[in-house]
Amino acid sequence: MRLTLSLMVALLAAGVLAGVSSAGEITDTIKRESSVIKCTVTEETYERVAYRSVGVTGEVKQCEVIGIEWGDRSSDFIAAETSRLRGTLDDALAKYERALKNPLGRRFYVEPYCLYYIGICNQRLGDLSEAEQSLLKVVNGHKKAKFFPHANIALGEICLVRGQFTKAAEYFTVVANSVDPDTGRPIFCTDLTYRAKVGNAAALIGTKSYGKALSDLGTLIAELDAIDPGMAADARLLKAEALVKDRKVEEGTKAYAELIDKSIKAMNGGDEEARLNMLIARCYNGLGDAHLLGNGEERQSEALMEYLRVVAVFGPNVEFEYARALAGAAMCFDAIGQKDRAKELVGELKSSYPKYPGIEQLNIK
Amino acid sequence: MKNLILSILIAAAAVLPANALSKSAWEARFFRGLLQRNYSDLAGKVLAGIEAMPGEPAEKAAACVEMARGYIEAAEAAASEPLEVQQEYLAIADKQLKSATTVSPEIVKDLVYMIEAANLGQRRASILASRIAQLPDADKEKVFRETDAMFIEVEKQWEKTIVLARNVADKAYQTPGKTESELADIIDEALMKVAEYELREALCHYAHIELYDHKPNDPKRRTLVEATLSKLAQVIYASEDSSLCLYAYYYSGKIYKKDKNWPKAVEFFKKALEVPRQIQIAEVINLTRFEYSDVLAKDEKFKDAIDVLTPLIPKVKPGAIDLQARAMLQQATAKFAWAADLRNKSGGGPPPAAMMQQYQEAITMCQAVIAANPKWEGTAQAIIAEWSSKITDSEDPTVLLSEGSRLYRDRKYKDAAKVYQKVLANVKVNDKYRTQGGFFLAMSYYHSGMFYEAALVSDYLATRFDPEKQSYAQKAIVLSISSSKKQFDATKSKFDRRLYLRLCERIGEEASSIIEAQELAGKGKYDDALKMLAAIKPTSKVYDQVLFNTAQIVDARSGEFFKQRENIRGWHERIKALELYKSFIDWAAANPPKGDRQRLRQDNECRAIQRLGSLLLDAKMESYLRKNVAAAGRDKGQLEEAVKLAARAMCQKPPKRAPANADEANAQITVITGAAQKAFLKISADIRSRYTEAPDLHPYIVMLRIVAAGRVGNAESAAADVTQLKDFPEFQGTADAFGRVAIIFDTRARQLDGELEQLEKQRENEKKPELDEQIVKARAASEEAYSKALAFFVEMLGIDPTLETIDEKQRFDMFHYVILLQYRRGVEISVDDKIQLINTFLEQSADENAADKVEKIEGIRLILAEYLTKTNKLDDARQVFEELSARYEKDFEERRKKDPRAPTYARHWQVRHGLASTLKALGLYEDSLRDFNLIWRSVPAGSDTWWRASYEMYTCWMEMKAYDKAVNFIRTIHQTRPTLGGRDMKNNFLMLLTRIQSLPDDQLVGVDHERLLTLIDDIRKETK
Repeated sequence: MRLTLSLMVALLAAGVLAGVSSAGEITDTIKRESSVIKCTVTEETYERVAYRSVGVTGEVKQCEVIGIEWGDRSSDFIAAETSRLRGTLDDALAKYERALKNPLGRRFYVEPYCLYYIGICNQRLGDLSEAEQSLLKVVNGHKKAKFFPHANIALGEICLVRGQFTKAAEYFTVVANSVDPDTGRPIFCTDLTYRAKVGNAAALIGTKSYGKALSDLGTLIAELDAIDPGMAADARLLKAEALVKDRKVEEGTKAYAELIDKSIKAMNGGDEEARLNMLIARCYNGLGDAHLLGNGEERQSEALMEYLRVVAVFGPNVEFEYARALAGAAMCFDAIGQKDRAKELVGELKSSYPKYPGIEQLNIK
Repeated sequence: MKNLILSILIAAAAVLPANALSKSAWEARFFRGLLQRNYSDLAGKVLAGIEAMPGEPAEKAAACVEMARGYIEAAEAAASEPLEVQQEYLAIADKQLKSATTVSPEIVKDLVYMIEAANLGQRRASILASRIAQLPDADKEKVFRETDAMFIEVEKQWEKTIVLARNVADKAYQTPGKTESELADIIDEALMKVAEYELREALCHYAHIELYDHKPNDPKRRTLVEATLSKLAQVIYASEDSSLCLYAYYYSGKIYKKDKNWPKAVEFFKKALEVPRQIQIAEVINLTRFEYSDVLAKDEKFKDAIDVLTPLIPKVKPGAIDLQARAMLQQATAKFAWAADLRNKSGGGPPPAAMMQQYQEAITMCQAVIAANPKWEGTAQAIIAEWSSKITDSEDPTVLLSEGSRLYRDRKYKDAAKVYQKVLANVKVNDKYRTQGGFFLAMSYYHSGMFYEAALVSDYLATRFDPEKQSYAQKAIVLSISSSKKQFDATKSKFDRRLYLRLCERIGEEASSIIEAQELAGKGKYDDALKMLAAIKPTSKVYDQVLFNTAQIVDARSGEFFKQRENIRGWHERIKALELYKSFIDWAAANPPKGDRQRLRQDNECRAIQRLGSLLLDAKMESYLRKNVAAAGRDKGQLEEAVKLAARAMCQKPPKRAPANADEANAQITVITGAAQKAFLKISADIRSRYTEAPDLHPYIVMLRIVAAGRVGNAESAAADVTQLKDFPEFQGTADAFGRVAIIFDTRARQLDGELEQLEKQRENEKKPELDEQIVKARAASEEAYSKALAFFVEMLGIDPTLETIDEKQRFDMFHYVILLQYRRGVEISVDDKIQLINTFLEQSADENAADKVEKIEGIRLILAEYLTKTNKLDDARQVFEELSARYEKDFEERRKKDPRAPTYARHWQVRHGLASTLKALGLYEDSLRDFNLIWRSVPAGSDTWWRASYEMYTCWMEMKAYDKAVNFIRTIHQTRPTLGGRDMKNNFLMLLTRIQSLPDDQLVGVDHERLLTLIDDIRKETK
């Protein structure tokens, strides 16, 4: 749409372009599944969004809100969101930092939003210490903010990567077990509660409490199948991992294979593709690990082919899983005497993922 | 580049939605991925699996097409390999496509099939086209025609594909049961497909144009160019909101660039860079930047050519290192071109400063690329060589000196000598440049070990040029004597002795005495040196040198006292040196230099001031003076003495009033110190006023700032200052400065380590999670400080030792410390770099024979052996271990002769263990076993070394398949020492025993099964 100069001037005068009403009030847009509310948001917590519209106050449950378009957001904030959604994370990171310092935007949403996404971008870029610092600021400084549960979950995930399973469980528990004392219902939105529960199961696997993890996952899968098939698949993946680690290799392998088949069938080029790719990649890597635990003579070669599926089919699109597969395949190549290939993969891993855990120990002689 | 773009397009097609993927199609994707990685053997296994898979004909045909795509991509990827390899891949792709039609004849009407058939044809035609240049003339025309026909055929194929895609788009209008907006989406998608195939057809035309580049004047080429541009314009029109238009802009730009139509090429490349962010594709944008920059440079818009690449430089993220290197090298090329352009425009006159700046910056960029990414060294050096010869082929001395200086800095002395020779040999060049070139020519010879040549060249400078006017001619006098002395020392020939004596005679007996005194002092014979200097009368022409050297020798002697831990004598000697420096400066102020000594005097005065300054600012000196006050206690007489000493140490008069108590004495010292620093500043200012052509004192002042920064631990300020010294290549003290900065960082790192230790203790005791954050930060800060310290130390060690003021002992100790620091803390430094540093150290310390130094050198050689093992240079490692081992054996034997109870040292066994491990890694198990056994028998039973040797012996038997010996050995040890060396070691033994147990019976000859099982059971029970 091209705006003529005079129309732009008129709109600016009316404050519409800047998200400011003629009365000087900020106009935010709360988006819900089936409607939008043009109003001025006065408070946003993980429970509710309070607003004022034409002198009347109201509130919406946070779980019903798809998103809020803030009327007074700065250009840095907009640019940061765009960069994040496009996946250019380093760019997004710099812009969130700028948005945080930009005086535009009300602090009650700018600070937790920016801090949370600075944490998430850093997490995805593999800089866990930086991520942790930002997320801790959300958890400690914005205890009522929308992103408080999200930040707890992200911190739990970071701890999982670092192998700090007990600490991870503490973060997940904050979200998974919080209930309203009056109603007895979970305080946080259902999807977050389940994400935390799945995270908790992963922490249990980390602490080798396989029996408890498998039993929790069984319950979770049954519940999630009905409400969130995507998360149910994540729980199935964890179950397969738990089985393998509990030395029930055959059962675990079967669980992985079933999940792969199901996921391939579900692929139709839609929005789910990226998630399914990641899931399948994790399954193949899990299968690789499972083969290595077996006793067969060909276990290295079998594991190699699984890791290579991730390397050859998905490539860097699956981020950490790709790095994991590079490391796994390199070790297998090394074990079967194909040193040059092993060195080549280690070289790629070191140059592309220099912070991959345990990378220093990966030396092919 | 073309291949890359095509690959991107093909890859883009590969991720197009695949409705309800069949198992075989999924496997075919895997197969393609393996081929792309060049794992043909593994791909072959997958292929066999796919062929054996059951499935519908349509599914099988689709899998064949997918595999054909894999082989076409493999051919693309093999573009740098022999054509036969590419052709082989394409032949298999062809076979796969044919199989697809056999399984399901209907597939020929399928778009996916048609695209791959066209891709195959296009690739084949491109291969043929690329061969034409190498063909004999007689065959060229024939192959040209064949290729031309192939391209025409492929273009027809693309036309058919486009028609089919248009039909699909037309049918989309009639899709029943869709809302208007859904229908619009479907149609948009179908039209976008049409645009994509049109782009592919245009790219085929582009490849066809490249064929016609062999016949640039053929009218058909022009027709093709116009058709391609028109097709690309069509794509741009149809796909303004998609990435396709980015490709179209890029290729339009490339076609105009081919035809040297710079303005049009610029227009299209610019448009490519301006496409909305959401449709940008990083690879294409990057390629555009390179092409665009190239066009701008060709159009002599050098600054723009450099700027357009700048966004690619700071992206230091995984995978971007090569991109960054390429961008920097292209920027460097643009800068070289700019320099050459400026030179041409100068019309033969002296080169403008701007030219030198561009030239130097280009070289710096190339060097930065090499430092960051050594794999680009070849390319970067080739660029430097190509342009340097273009720019420096003139006789211009500034250009040649600059080039020589670069080579000299890089320690390429022989190459530097060639360049400096040109300057010296050119009689048209003025004396200033000729003497400079000559001096560095002599220095280059000196560093190449060509002392005789160095002596001749420096003698030539000293005798043919006026030392009063040319500072380098004056410096050459000393160089000629040093070089001839080195030559004589090396050959001991009469001829070289005569040369040395003749040169000494030329400068006179007194000047020779000074040189001899310096040599005596270098050997630690301070008294003899001072006596020799004392014999020279104040009326002598070289008396200023006598004063300065006397101060220096006393200063060096004070250092020697400190090393011998005679601190009191050390301090008194240092104070004496300080007074001597001050006397020299005062004397110099009262006795202006005569003619030819002016420059030398200035140089010495500056050095004296610099040393005086650092002594006045020395925190240790102040601390010593205050300790004297503390030691004096309440005794007034002693307090007065302490203050008087402080005044002497600071070259100040003592206060008139004697101190009443220690506080007053300290206050008086503070006043004295402040006055000393002011006096020092006055001296620095004074020297500038005395010498109208005084050498730049800036480096000395920088040096003092570094000393001052060191006192307050301001490492950043010191680091910022020290880099300025690089601009003063003749300043003797740069290494010292770098060493000081390194020490500031090192001190900080140690302090941080202390804090870290405290924090860790606190966390352990208090279990506060918030301490984790602080610990992480402290650790990172300590690592950073160590890594900076190391960087500065290494820089210091890289500075030519013969040009420095640091004495050999200091240098040796520093070198030794740096290697140890790299070993302990240099996690980010590559092992190869560490080995290189050690080799330099060993080379420079080859003649050392003092016991303490030999001990340190051997410690370093042990580290070297460890590094060599790590980098799999096992034969080299073995040699070092064997030498060390022999040396420790000999030492042990000698000690035992004197005292039969003499113990072996831990390092002895460390070396032996290293040797045994290396032998094991080399597969020499028997030798390895022998050495481990020796350790096992020699060290105290139950010690860590003993357990490690036990385990290694055990693993040697495992490698030798002597399982019976391995089992018996463990059983015996287990009986006497059931702990088996602790939990970890026990688990290791258990694991290996279990492995033996699982072996087939025929391999277990001599192994008592029952006993083995009992042993395993026993150990298992214990581990539980």
